[in-house]
Amino acid sequence: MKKVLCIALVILLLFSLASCGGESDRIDLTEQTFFYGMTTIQMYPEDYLGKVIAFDCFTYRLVDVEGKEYLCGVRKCSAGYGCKCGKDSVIGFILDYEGAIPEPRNQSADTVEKTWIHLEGSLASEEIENIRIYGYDGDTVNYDRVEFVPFCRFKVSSLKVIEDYSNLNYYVTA
Amino acid sequence: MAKRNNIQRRTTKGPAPIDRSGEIASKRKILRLFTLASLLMVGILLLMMLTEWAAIYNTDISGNEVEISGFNCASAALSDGYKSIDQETYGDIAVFNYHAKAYVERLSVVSVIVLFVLIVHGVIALFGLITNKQGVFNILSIIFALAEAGLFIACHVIGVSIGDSGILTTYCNDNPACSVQSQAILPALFAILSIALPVVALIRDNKIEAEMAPLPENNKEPVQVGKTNRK
Repeated sequence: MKKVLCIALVILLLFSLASCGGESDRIDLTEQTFFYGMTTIQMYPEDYLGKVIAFDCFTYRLVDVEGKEYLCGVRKCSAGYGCKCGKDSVIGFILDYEGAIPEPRNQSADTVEKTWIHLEGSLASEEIENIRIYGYDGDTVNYDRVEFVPFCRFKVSSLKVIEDYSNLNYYVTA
Repeated sequence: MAKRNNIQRRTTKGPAPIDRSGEIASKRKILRLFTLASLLMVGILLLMMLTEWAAIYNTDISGNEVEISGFNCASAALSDGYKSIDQETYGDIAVFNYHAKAYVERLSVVSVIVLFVLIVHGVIALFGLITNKQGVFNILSIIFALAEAGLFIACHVIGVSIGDSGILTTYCNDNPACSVQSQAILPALFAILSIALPVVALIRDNKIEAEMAPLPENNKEPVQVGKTNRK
């Protein structure tokens, strides 16, 4: 009887280990998981295609070397995958939305007073777009240096403007 | 002389046998404590799998940029969670896997092996505790502890070698003091120390066995290990 109990215990342990951590079809990025979640999604977009992703971010306008504008939903960060964006380090998505996306406010300033939105949607594709932008030397644009910024495109299904963003961090870390 | 008289004689002739079963039982009980301690050691080694088996330590922030534990690696290998955002279960394994896939997969496989070895070791120690059969369980315990030490050392070596993958350039902003560190050496040292328990238990068990050994039919005093009856 004791032997059976011991073996059952071991099998239970192995099953619990094997079954843990199953990814659901909905991902809610929080203040704690935003940076790592966003980094992981951008590293493996093919694994997150079709999943509903919800998160809070601020709007950010990116202009490439040809003058084409991209409206993005981002947060500022210090390091990690695909963050460097001209003079800012940001992480997020290029937004595809049929409705109106609120205009960015203080997008590069070190303040929380930005245009905050709550988004729900999914990755538009597994492709990563490399946007060509001019580099920055401090606050000055360096037209002789072109950088590539990798971004995923996000198909927004729901957008809500966040009025009270006092508990949100414009700067996120791992 | 006193020692000689204390040896239980099971011959039909000669002095009446001295009943030492109580003393032997008490010594065996002490041996059971060694087995219990071995079982606890296995438990501690399992807990030590929660330590950082690979971490990027950045002096700029005086802390880890990203880290993974032995359990993170084993979980990822068992459920293919190398690309998961679930940090509670897998730690930061997704970023390690992105930059150092071969190293992470190797580390995860060894982590699973060490986990299985620890579980089997735990079961063996449990059976040893229940049955109190010392000899074979102690020998198995020594073999398993040695295997565990070797596997933990392998994990440490693989963990540290992740630094060769180029991941530091992404996370360290050219800080030369930034490095990949591994605490897997700690359970390795602990596993080596834990070998002392079954070794001592084995020696004590052999002594008890020798004391319990019956005298030969010619009623000569028993021969002890390493000694002869020559005078």
